[in-house]
Amino acid sequence: MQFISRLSFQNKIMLVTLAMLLFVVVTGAVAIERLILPAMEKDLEFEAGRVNRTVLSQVVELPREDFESEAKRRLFTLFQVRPKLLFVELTDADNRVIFQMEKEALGEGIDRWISEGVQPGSLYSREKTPHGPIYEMVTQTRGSHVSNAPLTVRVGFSTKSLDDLGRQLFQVLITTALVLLVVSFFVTRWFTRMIVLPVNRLLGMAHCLATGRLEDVVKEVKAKFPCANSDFGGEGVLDKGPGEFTPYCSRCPLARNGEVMEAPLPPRDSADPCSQCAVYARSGKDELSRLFLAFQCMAAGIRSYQERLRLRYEFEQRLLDACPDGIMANDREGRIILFNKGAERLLGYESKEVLETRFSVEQIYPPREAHAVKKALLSEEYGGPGILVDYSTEVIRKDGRSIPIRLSAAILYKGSQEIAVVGFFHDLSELREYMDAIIQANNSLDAANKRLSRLNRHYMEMLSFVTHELKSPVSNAFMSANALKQGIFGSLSRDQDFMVDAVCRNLTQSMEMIRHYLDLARIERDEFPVQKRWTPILAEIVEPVLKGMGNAIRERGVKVEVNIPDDFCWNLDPELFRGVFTNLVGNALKYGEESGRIRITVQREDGGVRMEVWNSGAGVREGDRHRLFQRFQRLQGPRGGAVRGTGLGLFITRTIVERHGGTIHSEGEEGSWISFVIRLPSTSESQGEEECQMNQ
Amino acid sequence: MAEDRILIIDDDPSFLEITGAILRRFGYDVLTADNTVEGLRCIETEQPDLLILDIMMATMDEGLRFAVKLRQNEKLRRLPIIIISAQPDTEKGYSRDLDEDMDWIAADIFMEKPVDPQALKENIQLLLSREQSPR
Repeated sequence: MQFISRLSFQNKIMLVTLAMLLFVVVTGAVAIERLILPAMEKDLEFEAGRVNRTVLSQVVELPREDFESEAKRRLFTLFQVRPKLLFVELTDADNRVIFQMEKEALGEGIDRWISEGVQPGSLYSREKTPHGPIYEMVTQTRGSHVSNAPLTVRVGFSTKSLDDLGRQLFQVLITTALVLLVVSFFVTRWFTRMIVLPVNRLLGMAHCLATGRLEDVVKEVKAKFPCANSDFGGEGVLDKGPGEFTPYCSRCPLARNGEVMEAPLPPRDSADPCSQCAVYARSGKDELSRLFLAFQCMAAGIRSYQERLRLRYEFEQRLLDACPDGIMANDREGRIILFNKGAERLLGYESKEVLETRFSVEQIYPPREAHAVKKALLSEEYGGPGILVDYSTEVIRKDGRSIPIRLSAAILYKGSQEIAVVGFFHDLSELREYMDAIIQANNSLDAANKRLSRLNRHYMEMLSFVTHELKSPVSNAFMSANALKQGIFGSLSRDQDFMVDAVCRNLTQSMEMIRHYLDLARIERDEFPVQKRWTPILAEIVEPVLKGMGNAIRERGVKVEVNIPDDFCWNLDPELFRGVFTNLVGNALKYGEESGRIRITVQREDGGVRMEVWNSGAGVREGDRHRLFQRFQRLQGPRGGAVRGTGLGLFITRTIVERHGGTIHSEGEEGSWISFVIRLPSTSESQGEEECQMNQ
Repeated sequence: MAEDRILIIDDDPSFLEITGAILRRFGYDVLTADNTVEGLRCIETEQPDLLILDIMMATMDEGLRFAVKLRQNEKLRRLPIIIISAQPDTEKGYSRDLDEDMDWIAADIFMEKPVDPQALKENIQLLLSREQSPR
């Protein structure tokens, strides 16, 4: 304010001007009163004396006889036209009027006072009459050649003209003073505005800049921007929208990519492109203009920076709001200072009510949980200290509901000073619902599975029991039929033999089915122990199997070729593998070519063993082979029809092979041949191998 | 030559009947018992030349244990035994421990049901001839 007061000397100038005017007026008035008017009175007095002397000179020599008439005539002629002359009176010694002009006009009631400075022989007096003051000169002359009687001349001059002149002088003085006052007012005002207003504007702009009201600065400046090279044709760009706000032309080295780098400085030399810029040309050496320029550039720069900050802030705000997770930050006192849309959705609070009150972060956690979170944040257990990754906890919504969340957080530092903690809250309620649903479904499935397992076990136990119980009568029937067929009870007729043979075949199939079902039941009950020992493959596995199936082989007219060294031993369960070969050879007999060939090969391969049962015949389509080892899968018979069976043989075979750590697959050519290849891995168990080989 | 006497112990009467009939057709004197108690008594009183024994009777391993008991009996340990099981080879897991204890060959020959009559006859003949030959 002090500076403003100093700057507002407009009023002082006005006061000084007024004082000077007053002084001039007073001086003028004094001069008029004391100098001009007295001088004019002297002049009148001198004129009166001159008139007197003229009168006397005209009459003093007149002869006595014509004295009066001649005097009248001369004086009349003399004073016919004499401005300011109010009256002329010539009287003789007897006070008789010889000549009088306009005396009547003076009227009565004259106040007369004798003036000083009476010249010798004359009396100067001033009178005040109803018509205004007059100057009267009375001159007496003693003796003349006509008459020695003294003559008295009275000459009166009106002071009206003198008064008028004085009035006019005062009027001129006052008028001149008033004119000067008005002119000086406007001149002073103009002059002070020239100085004060720009400074005030600059001060106002500086104040706006200081208080961050850049919009007001921009509005205040409102000037066309002085850069002549501007892409906007030299027009001011302060009114442009966000993003276009640059006060520089595209060639300006102070601007990079349209962004303000720094305020323009005076060009250093003529090579500077800005030396052509009207910014400097226009500013010249005028400090105020340059100061305005500096303010404009400062405002433009700050506005540009502010605009970028605003865009950045809006981008970050949009980023925060776009985040589906809740993001919150709290200061050192635990007061929440950041609360995005995700946090609003998660907790049910509006950001306004959180940020505008002293809302503590502890309020969003269950009791003592905030302390636990802080402890975890400072520990090393979750990626810390200072970092918290995937910490599972709960938050309390505004409506009191508890929400499970996964929290990741970090402490923000300024230098070594902790300033805030920012946390990312991922809502797990939906996931928990899914998990609960999955757990529930899993429990249901588990219960169903247990029920199914129990049912299956019951089924398998029943199957096992039934098949087991069936086996004895079937075995007995088979034995009886075999006895008949073998003629133990006498020879059979051809028809009887055919029928008994049919009974035997059916009973054989029944026995096989019973065996399969019993195996299946044991597999399902996981009662399938593998007892390995070094076993001669030919003597203990293949030969017994072939012997047991001798009748069937003979009936089918199949030629069996066995390629197994006599002393070939392997570490396996011989009883289980007799079942394997029984199934494979049985399949070869059932599905293979009648009067065809079966080849059984066992040999070492890559440290393990390769077993193959090959037979000629229709084989299986390649696309169907992968189904062969599934349970209840039946192959087509040699004539395309179904062959009675359980569809379990190859499943049981695969199970036995896999329990030995091996694999089985089929190869073949449809319509020509098929083989089943078993590969067992090398064995580390060598005890008994040599003995096995020696015994063969 | 007197008929060789064969004792069949099985809790399945049908098997006893059928096997008995077959063996009689083969010319053997056949005795049957449907449990091991009666079978032991029969062995002691009738002194059969060969025993055909079922494994699984009242209990799972009754036949095997009975065979072991006979083997441990000084007077009876030379009695030839053919054990017949209703279980397939692959199903004998239940008796593995027993096998190891008894070396499994508490019997002379093991046969699986259904028994082939001719094979049974051959095995009987084999054992009887071995029994009658000087040791």
